[in-house]
Formats: sequence, C-alpha cells, structure tokens
Amino acid sequence: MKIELLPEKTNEKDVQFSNPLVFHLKTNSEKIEIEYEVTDIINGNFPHVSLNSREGIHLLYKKDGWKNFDIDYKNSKFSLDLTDKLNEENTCEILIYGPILSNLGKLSLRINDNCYLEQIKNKDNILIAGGIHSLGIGCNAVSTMFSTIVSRKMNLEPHYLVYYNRNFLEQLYKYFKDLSEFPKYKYGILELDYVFQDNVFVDRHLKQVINFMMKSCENLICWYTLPPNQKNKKNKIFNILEPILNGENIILEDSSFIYEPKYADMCTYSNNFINDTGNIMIYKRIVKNLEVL
Amino acid sequence: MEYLKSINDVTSQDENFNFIDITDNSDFIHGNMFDSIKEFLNKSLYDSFKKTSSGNRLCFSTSSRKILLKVKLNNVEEYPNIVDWNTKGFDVYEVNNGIYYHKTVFAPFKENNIFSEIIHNKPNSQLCVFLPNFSNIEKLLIGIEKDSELKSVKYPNEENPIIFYGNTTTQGASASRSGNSYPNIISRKKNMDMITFIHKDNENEYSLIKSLIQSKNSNIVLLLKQNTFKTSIEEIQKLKKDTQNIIILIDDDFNDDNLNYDELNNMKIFRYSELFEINELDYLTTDKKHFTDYGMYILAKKICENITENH
Repeated sequence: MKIELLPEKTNEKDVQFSNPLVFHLKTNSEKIEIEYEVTDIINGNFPHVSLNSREGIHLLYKKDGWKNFDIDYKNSKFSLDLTDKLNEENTCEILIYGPILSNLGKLSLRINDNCYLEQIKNKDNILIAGGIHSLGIGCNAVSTMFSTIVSRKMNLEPHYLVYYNRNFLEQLYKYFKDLSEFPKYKYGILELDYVFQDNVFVDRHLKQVINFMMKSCENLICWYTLPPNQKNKKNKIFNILEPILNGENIILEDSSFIYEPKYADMCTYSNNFINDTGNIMIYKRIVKNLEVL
Repeated sequence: MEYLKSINDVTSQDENFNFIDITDNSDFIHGNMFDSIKEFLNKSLYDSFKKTSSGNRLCFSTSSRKILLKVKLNNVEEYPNIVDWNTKGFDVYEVNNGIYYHKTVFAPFKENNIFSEIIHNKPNSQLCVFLPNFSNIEKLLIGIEKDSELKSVKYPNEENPIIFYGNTTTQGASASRSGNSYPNIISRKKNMDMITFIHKDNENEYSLIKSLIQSKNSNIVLLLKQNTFKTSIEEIQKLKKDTQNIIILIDDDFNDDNLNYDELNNMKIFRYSELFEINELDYLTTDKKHFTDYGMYILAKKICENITENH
C-alpha cells in the first residue's frame, strides 16, 4: 500500500510554515519503502551544513528512546527493515525530517499489505520562530537541531517560522502583520537576535514580534546566544524585554554561555555559527524552561 | 579563498610571500603521513590502514603576520551526514604555553581541490592546523611574508606519541570540524603528539592491532567492535608490555548485554553502553554510531582521564 505524505496545497491563505517539515508516524508494517524528491535546492557554499540536512531526509525510530536509522542517504528511494524495531505492541513510531535548505517535492511510503500507517498528531504543539540558529545552520543532521530535539523529547507537534536571513525579525514581523487569525500553540520559542542582525530591525520589530508570538503562544521562551563581543546587543534585548518579563508565561533565556572558553571549542565554529553541541546545550536549557512554564 | 587550476598557479597575493613546500616534511606535519610510520608496521600491513590526513597536524611558528597556504587535496567528496569543515576542513588553533585557542576553520567549496587561503597571525605565535579528516593532502605549500622566519614546533615527549586505532569514528565522523575528532581533542587537551590508524576493512585487523601493541609507545587507544575485542583480547594481554598503557573502547552497539570478560587489571576498558546515556542516542550520533562533538568530547574526556604522561 502506498501513502503520499505531503499535504495537498490549497488555495486558501493557509499559514505557510517553513522547513524542516516533520512527520511523526506509527506503523505495524515490518518493512517500509520510502521515496522522496527535493526541489528548489539552494545554491551556495555551506561548509557547516551537511549535504543531507540541505537536501535530504533524516529518519529516526522509537525503541527505548529515539534512535537514528542507518540508511544510505545518497539514494532517494530505499527500504527499511523494522522487524527488530517493533515494540511489544508490534508497532513502530518513526520520525521523518525534511531538509532545511530545499523543499520536499514528494514523500511517499509503501508498507506491507494489510498493515497500517498513521500520522501521530501530538496533543500539544510548539511554534519555533527565528533565524540562522533556529533553522539548524551548523548542524550535521536535522535531528541535532535544538528545536527537533525539544519537540521529539517533549512530544510536541512542531511548526517552523524560520528564515535563512540575518534580519529575520523583519521577516517575522512581515509574516505576522498580515495574519488575520493567529493559530494557537501551547509553546513558542523565539530567537531574539543574531550576531549579524542589524540593530535597527531589533529596535523596530522585536517588541512587536514578541507581542505577536504572545497572541499565538500560551507560553513563550525568548532566547538568544551571542558571543562576548556583542554586549550591546544583549543590553538592548534586556532593555526591550524587561517591562514584559514579569508575566508568568514568558521567559528570557540567555544561552551565550556556549561561547565561554569552557564550552566554545565544543559548541561553536566561530563567533558566528554554533554546531550540533551548541544546539544540544540550548535544547537542555530550553527544556528546563519549558518544565517551569 | 582563491581557487586554482594548478598548485603552481600564481595567486593575487603571491608576490608578497616566499613559499616552502612542506608536503613531505615531517618537521612540520605530525601524524601518520610519512614513511616513518612503516617502522610500526610491516609492509604488508601498511596498506591495511586508510591513507587520510585525519589526525595529522601542521605545526609551526612564524614571525610572518600573514600565512598563505596553498593546498592540493586528492579527495573532495561530500559526505551525507558530515559537514565540509570536518571532511576537508583545515581547523586552525593558536597555541600558547600548551593551551589551544581556536582561530578559524576553512574548507574548499564543492569539487574545488586546489586553493589558497590566508591565515592572519600574531607574529611569533605558534599555530596548529588540524588537517582534513576525510581527504588527503597531495601538496601543501606554506607562504610566509618576505623577510620572515618559519620554524617547526615540537611536542613535549614527541618521540612517544599516543597511538590511536579505530574506524570512521576515530577518523572524525561526525564532528563539526576536523579538529573535533576525539584523537584531535585529546592531542589538544594533553598537548601530546599522536598517530592515528584507521583500518580499511576487517582483513588484517588483528595483525594491525598486534603490530601497534608491539610498538614502543606508552599510550595505545584502541576502538574495537565487540567481536574483535572478544577474539583479540587474550592476545593483546599477552603482548602488552608492563610499561604500556592500553585503553580499549568497545563499540557494543550501546547494548550492555552479551559481553562478559574477566577483570583485566592491566588494561582500561570502556564500553559504549557504559560511557553514554541511552536516552541521548538521538543527538549523540547523526546515524547509528558516528558521534557529534558532544559524543566526541565524552570519549575524549574519558580517555584523557586515563592517559599516562610519561616523560
């Protein structure tokens, strides 16, 4: 039986989310065949983003926790043997992540006859909004982005509004201001600033974007990670946020510790980019905050 | 970065520099790239390990404020789950009193395998460049400003490097930069020289391990699959000298079943299932077992705690 996973395009002004697309599935089939195509492959030099993150898919399965599949990522059509991955109920949960710098044009799965495959929609959802770091630039795999780890570990349905643009706050502002209706989320994670974001956009849009996010999200974590030479940016963020931080459902998280000498070699490429471990450290901080909210 | 058609091409900056070919110069390049490695192995085993620049370092000090590297790589393949700053990355550190400070990392774009790159330098500081983990250097020229000096740098106790043996994990998959494979991390943290052996396939693996243990080196770190450990541990024990410190990492697929071994008082043995939390597997690795820097640093920390610093 063949199943097409990509949602049908509609003519309505749907909320258009950005990559990566995330599919959480459950099946009782012992074998699945996966076929995919990517489109709009971005040209450019990305020595800090793996080929698969840019233009492939990544798969995990759940058995005693989430684990990565070992697959030949050079093929866009392959089979997976789930025989030893089925749980006591003879089912297997699978996560499929799409690419971050191209689009999934097609994603279809074929399962054994007389078996089922269903999409799992988690009860609670999360909106991840931001720029370079939130997009996963710097990660060897989509599975090591802080946001995919958060949503995976906390069983949250993730949606992304992330931009490959240093001035992402302006992009977010433009997106939100045209919305007639704000979709509702249990949680939101908003990246506040980036080392190369122009300060004029932070002055102009940060407070408004936070207000928009608060309209959508019941609980909001505002976070940033900035190197030591960006103290003025940190001060600016604090000055803008300080009046609204008294709310019970908004938290400011400064994850700049990953640039400290103790962590920098493990977590960063430079003052401009963070790697998988930087993402892991941010995930650990964010999860602690989510548990407080 | 400037891309070239030939290593002998003149770049826009060449006229300000004098160039030295250090491709085959073991005064400047430390690691496994030279024929001297054959003293560890007999000729038939020499072909058993992968020829990559993984674990190799370019170490020097210079009075030049700019260094112009000209490089010809012989493999610039893109790997699905490993970034280019690891596979063909040059990871540059400044070394001050044995402490390493990260400066920059660079790698050529796509299929460009011949290029030049400028590194800015504080005069008379010491630099250590970790060479690509999944490529190999065919030619390497260092350009220094005219009227400046270039000196080689020795490690403390350089005649007794740490020996690393393993697979693509040892080679560096899937760290974020070439300098963040666990052998390279250890080399930095301990400021010790090292030689890395990555086996090509399962043939001759046992003979290769035996040959390494028969070397005179004090610290030998082996990454072994569980089956290899079971079949070779008895012989390793017999061959081990009293003066040697052997550390064995066992890749047991993060599964703590099915491996019993007698207490081995004279060796340090660490299983993946003991070193790592099972609930972190999804971000510890990018596939079934190749580690992100997070995993590499956990391995490096454990090994560093158990390295002996003989002088």
